[in-house]
Amino acid sequence: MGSGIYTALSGAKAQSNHLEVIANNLANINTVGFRSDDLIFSSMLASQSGVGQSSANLPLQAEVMPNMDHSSLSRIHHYVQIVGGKSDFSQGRMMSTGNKLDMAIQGEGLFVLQGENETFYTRDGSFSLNEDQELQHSSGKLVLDENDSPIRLDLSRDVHVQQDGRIMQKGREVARVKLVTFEKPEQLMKKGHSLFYNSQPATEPELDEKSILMSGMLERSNVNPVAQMTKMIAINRRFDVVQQLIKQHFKLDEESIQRIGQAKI
Amino acid sequence: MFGALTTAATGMEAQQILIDIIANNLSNVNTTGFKKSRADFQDLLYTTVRVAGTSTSAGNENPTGFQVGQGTRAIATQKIFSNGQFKNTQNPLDLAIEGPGFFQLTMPDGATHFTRNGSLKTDSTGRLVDSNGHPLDPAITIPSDATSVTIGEDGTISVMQAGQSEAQEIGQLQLAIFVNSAGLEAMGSGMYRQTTASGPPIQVVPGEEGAGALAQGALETSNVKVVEEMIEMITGQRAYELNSKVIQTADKMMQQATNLRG
Repeated sequence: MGSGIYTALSGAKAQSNHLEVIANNLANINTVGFRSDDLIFSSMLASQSGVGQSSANLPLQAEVMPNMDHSSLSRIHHYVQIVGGKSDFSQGRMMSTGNKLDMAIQGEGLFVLQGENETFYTRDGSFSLNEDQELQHSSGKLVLDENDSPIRLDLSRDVHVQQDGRIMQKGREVARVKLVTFEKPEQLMKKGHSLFYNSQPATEPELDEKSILMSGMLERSNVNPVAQMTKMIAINRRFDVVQQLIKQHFKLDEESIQRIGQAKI
Repeated sequence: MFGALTTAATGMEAQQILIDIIANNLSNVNTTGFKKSRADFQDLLYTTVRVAGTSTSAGNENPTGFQVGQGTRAIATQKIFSNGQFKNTQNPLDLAIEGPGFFQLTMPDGATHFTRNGSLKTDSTGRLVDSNGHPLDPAITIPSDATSVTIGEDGTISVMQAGQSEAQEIGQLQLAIFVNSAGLEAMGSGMYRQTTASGPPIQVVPGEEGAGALAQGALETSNVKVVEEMIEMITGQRAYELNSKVIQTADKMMQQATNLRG
């Protein structure tokens, strides 16, 4: 069979992966602090045999076509490859809640949360207090201050959160909420519960002094429904095309088998 | 593709919860002292296909990872304690709090519940009670021969008694404020209960230490704004529709794949 069919198949696989990502974006259109995801595709070259390119350089080829005999490739074929995912860190719209412990970041900063053994980052500032009066994220992870310690509030005093992240109680600074930025935000991976983690712990984030913290507000999801819908229509059309290609291939194979069968030797 | 189906289904479920909450908010648009709720959603776990920074081959790294999410879920509902509008009733026992703070009510079991509904009445003994008959804490009894009741901004209650020319002070109302009022648990009937998240109540004199002053002869209406709820409802409905379109698209793609074997 012509290996063009596998090119089409890699396209179909990429489109269905893309649809899953779009589905997750649309499902999270009302999730506070959610960042929209997208996939990056590139064309991958499965080169001709004999040129000396080892299959180690073609990691996805084996993944897409596990049963393919590489030595039979005599021509250049292109395959679709998912290079990676990318979260869109653009600003979401703000909504007012009137709750002082709800915080929204205007700018590129991220809140820092303490996990069991690792540090998490989030844009979801829907905070509350735990039994020890420590500021916590809705996942139960504690919000950290500039000294990387949890923020404990005195419940008998009124709380004010200033735009620079300082938490004031009775005119005295209790703590300052830590905000960080990453030089390369693409190294952040999602963990669910609106959490991110740093996939390359060697690169530490930097303290963010530019972002503004707004108390009594939350940041909405930055999913753009129109863009997602357009992408979904495009996915559907491309899948359609790919499917037609596969059918064409089958038809070609069928015809050639028939003709060869009829040929008189 | 099957992933897209279930993911979109979680999205539809979330929008249903959103519409349920909006329905409750809208049905309480005329409830005195009602505070609207808001649903909190979070994304579900991600399937990590490839981690960013892992090496693809000798010396090369993936600059970006590849993760596929599994949808959303509702994790909490939160009360929004913004102030409602005030309406004049001219009834001397109607009180509105102009800012943060709660009236405290003593339950039959001795517990204290908190409310924003200041539509007070007197019971047979003259005690100030709420519409359900729960006495106010601190307890205040209006003498039976009182001809008029005046409640000041700071909660001082004075009465004119028959045959007297000067008003007499009989007590002072206190309010409770919470550092994290969003952590209060709604008990229905406009009442709330303290939780570990809300912290203990802080007793304050109305108008002091951040608490609102009292307005006599006024009631606080529900803080539900019909226009806002309608907009939320439209967004919710559209989001529901978008998610259902994902299901349709996934279904169509599966159908196309099935039709390959024509």
